[in-house]
Amino acid sequence: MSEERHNKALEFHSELDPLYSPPKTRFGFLAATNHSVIGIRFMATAIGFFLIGGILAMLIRAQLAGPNTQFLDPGQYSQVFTMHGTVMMFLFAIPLIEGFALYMLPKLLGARDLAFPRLSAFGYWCYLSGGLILLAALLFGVAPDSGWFMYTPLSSKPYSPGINADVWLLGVTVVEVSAACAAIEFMATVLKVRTGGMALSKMPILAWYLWATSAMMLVGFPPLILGSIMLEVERAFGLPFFDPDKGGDPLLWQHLFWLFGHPEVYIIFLPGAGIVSTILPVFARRPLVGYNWIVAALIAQAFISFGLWVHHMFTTGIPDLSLAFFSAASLLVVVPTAIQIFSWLTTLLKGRPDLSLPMLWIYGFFFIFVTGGLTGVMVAIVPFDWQVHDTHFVVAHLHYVLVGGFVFPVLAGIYHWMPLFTGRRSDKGLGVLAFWLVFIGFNLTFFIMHLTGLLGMPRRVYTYAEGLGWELPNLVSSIGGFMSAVGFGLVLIDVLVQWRFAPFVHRNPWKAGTLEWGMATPIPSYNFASLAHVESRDPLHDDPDLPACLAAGEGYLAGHRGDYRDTLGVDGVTGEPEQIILLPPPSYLPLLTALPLVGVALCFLFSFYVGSVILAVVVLFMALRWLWETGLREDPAPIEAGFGRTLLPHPAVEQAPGWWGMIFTLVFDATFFASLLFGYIFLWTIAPNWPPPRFLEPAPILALLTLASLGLGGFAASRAVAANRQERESSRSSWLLLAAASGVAATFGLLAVPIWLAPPPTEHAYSAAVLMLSAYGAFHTGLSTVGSLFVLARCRRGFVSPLRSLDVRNASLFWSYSAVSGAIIVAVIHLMPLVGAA
Amino acid sequence: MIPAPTNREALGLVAGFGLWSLTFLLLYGGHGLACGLGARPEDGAALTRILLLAVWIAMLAAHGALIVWFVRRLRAASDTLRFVRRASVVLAVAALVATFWTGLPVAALEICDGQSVGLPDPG
Ligand code: HEM
Ligand SMILES: [Cu+2]
Repeated sequence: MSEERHNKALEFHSELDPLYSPPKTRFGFLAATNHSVIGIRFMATAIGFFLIGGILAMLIRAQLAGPNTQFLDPGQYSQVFTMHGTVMMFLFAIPLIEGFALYMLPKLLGARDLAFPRLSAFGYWCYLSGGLILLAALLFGVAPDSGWFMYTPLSSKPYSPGINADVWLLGVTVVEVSAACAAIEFMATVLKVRTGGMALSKMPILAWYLWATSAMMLVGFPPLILGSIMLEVERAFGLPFFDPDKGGDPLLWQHLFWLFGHPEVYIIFLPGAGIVSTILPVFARRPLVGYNWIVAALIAQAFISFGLWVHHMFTTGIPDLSLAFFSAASLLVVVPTAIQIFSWLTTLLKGRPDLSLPMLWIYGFFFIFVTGGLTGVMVAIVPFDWQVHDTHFVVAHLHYVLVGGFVFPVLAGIYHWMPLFTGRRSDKGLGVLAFWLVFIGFNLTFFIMHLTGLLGMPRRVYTYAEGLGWELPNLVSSIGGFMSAVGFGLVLIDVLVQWRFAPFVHRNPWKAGTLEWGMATPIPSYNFASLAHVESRDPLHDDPDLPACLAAGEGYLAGHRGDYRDTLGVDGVTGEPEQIILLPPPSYLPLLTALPLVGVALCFLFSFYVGSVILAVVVLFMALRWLWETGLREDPAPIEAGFGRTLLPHPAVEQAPGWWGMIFTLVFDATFFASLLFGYIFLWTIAPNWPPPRFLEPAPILALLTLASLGLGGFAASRAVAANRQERESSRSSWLLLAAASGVAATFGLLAVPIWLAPPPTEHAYSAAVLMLSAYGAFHTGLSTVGSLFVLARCRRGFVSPLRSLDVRNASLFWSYSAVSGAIIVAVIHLMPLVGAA
Repeated sequence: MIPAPTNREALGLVAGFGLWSLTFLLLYGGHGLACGLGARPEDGAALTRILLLAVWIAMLAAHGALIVWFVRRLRAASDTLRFVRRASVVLAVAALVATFWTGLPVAALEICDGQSVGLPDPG
């Protein structure tokens, strides 16, 4: 029996492995879309940036080791600490989380890949290029130097005339494109791409954590991207959003930045906590206590962490009552963290934990994170903060939270999951020494740094005089810093050594219960030869034989059904199998779309705006080319999916992942729009030098015509969906054409305002904001137009039928969004001057 | 063969704190707007406070209604839906408490008064 199973498994492997691996051609690796491959690339690149960020940290510590050091001059020092913060936050932490989720999510969910594999590849290329732009700037000595939060006016043109700040704004924005793609992809994946029977209540806790993290990324990044665009157009074209002389306000930057920046801290912390919640029960040998409570706590935390941003905006003249809302939320956010800590402690106490290497890092996490929390409470007490604000105390606190809450769990995770990609046990040995070096070195550096801060040493100063009592603590911090650097180096060596020499392990070395261990190690490219039917949260504990059964094809969707990749799609809540998701083959399109996009940013950096425009058109063309390859040209028949079920392929299903992809994209988009409206209203009511010298010429007829074409476009697109459902092909075409025509009209109506009616955008923040809003609206109506024509072409080529309706439905959904946001824009632009004049 | 999609049920998980966010925005934004438009503690603040209190109480009522609705739905839940519906109720109750707590300052502090120190945090 077992012999027979084994042979079957080998047979499946030899069929599936070539199908799921990147093409074996010379440049085939550029076409890879497989989530394990892309995930590893993300993580390896992120760790590369961690080393770079670490080297920068060592430069800082070398400079500060003694008084009056001339090792770095003030300009260089500014670049070094700014790049250290930027690299660590944007090029290490967030991408590492993306890579981790990319790699782990399908395995945890019992699937073969994510919902949109090509999107992951595209995200990777954006991340790599954005990172390289920043790195190149560092090497050429033109790196950003205004601190990692880039406060205006320090980062505005008059104070930062070079391209340093532009590098930050453009580079980071390109990197954030990958974060946006990842967020959309993970949202849709956790909702739809799970294995059969995996109801939400049976989902591994890590998937919940990563889902909450993605949701936060989805609404956290738009304000940052908006702020970066606004600052960049101010720098490039003089649109005075942050210039108080012309009705702008530097405070707006702070709002937009921290609207992202505070949630960012939780975006980094949650995956770390998720790793702890996953590993701890494995080593305590008992299930996580309070799973349901943790899920609720996560969701609450994801929301509340958005209500804290103002606590970063120190002494900025905000009324007491406004601040009180934020203090209230700051206290609230402690509750979910406390729930998690209680759950971890109870799990530990109820179980019999051992001191394996991953657990060592987790104990380290506890210690450091709790200390960081305590100093956080100290920082939050106002009078105390008056003294420590902008000193090294704050630097110490923030490293306790970030290193304790993220880096330590990540190292626990590396040792825990290493067998998945090495196929070998992960042993103690060098790793223990490495742990103690990092742990002691870290505390030496940063515990002492609290003291340096209390002695009054400000952050971000390149050197200090003798005799202030700062010499000794700084020296100790520097020694500790180099000690932990050696520790991190040892971890790296340890991992490489184990990869090469540790004993082999066939599968599940820790006897864990979740599905990522339900495959052979090192993991096969397709994850599972057949997909599990899940009855509980720990399927491998229910049936330790499950991996062998799955490998022998005794689950859903055994083997392959054609020369394409596929995986199961389920109903979001119950986990009932619902559809077969057809996965795309390897493709160069992600790379070919990312390259021109990076080109847009690079041309912008060197003020070659025509180039940017041309390349933007290329990006659009490539994106359409990409979308063209989705879908089917004939109505598919139901397919045998195993366990007696027949399912339709996703293009023929109402709830296809692409539908949810569009919904989550629009959530992202709507947050961006809301931030833009917030900015406009904020400037109008709070910024100095309002009202502007002149308003827009009133144009009621234009406003009404624009509104009418918006309404008509949205309506026509929705009629096209109905016509498609009723199989009336010619009326479907007519409605789509009408939608496209209305899109053109609406675009003109929106663009007419800044071109002919409004004062020049450089005159005042008011006219700059009008331009921004109009451009946003026109961008959407323009895309709706292109989308309608694109779907029309798809209909002509037979991609659309009453059964295969995703194209028209998505186009219509996007049109509705454009119509609604466009109508709000028209109202704001045309009505507010009347209010202002009154 | 294909069961009715229940994806929407997941929305229940975010309904409670969605209301909390809305309340937060209305209170913070409303107050900021009022001050920006010139409300000062000495004059015109009474109206602002009444409006903010009204928002707060109305939103608390909305939270209450949400809880009642969710509790009713709990009884009708099938096995697979029970987890989500129960979690939705717990979150809705937590959100009510959160909204009550976050809004308290409206009743206690002066409108548009003081231009002082934030609760800072590094980064
Ligand atoms: C263990 C190695 C590390 C050392 C020795 C270190 C050291 C430092 C020092 C001394 C500063 C203050 C520079 C100044 O204000 O003059 C700093 C700033 C900073 N570090 Fe680190 N760091 C380390 C790791 C990290 C990690 C892992 C992260 C994030 C995940 C991080 C994020 C930051 C940020 C955001 C700043 C603020 C930069 C700014 O002021 O613009 N650091 N670091
Ligand atoms: Cu914060």
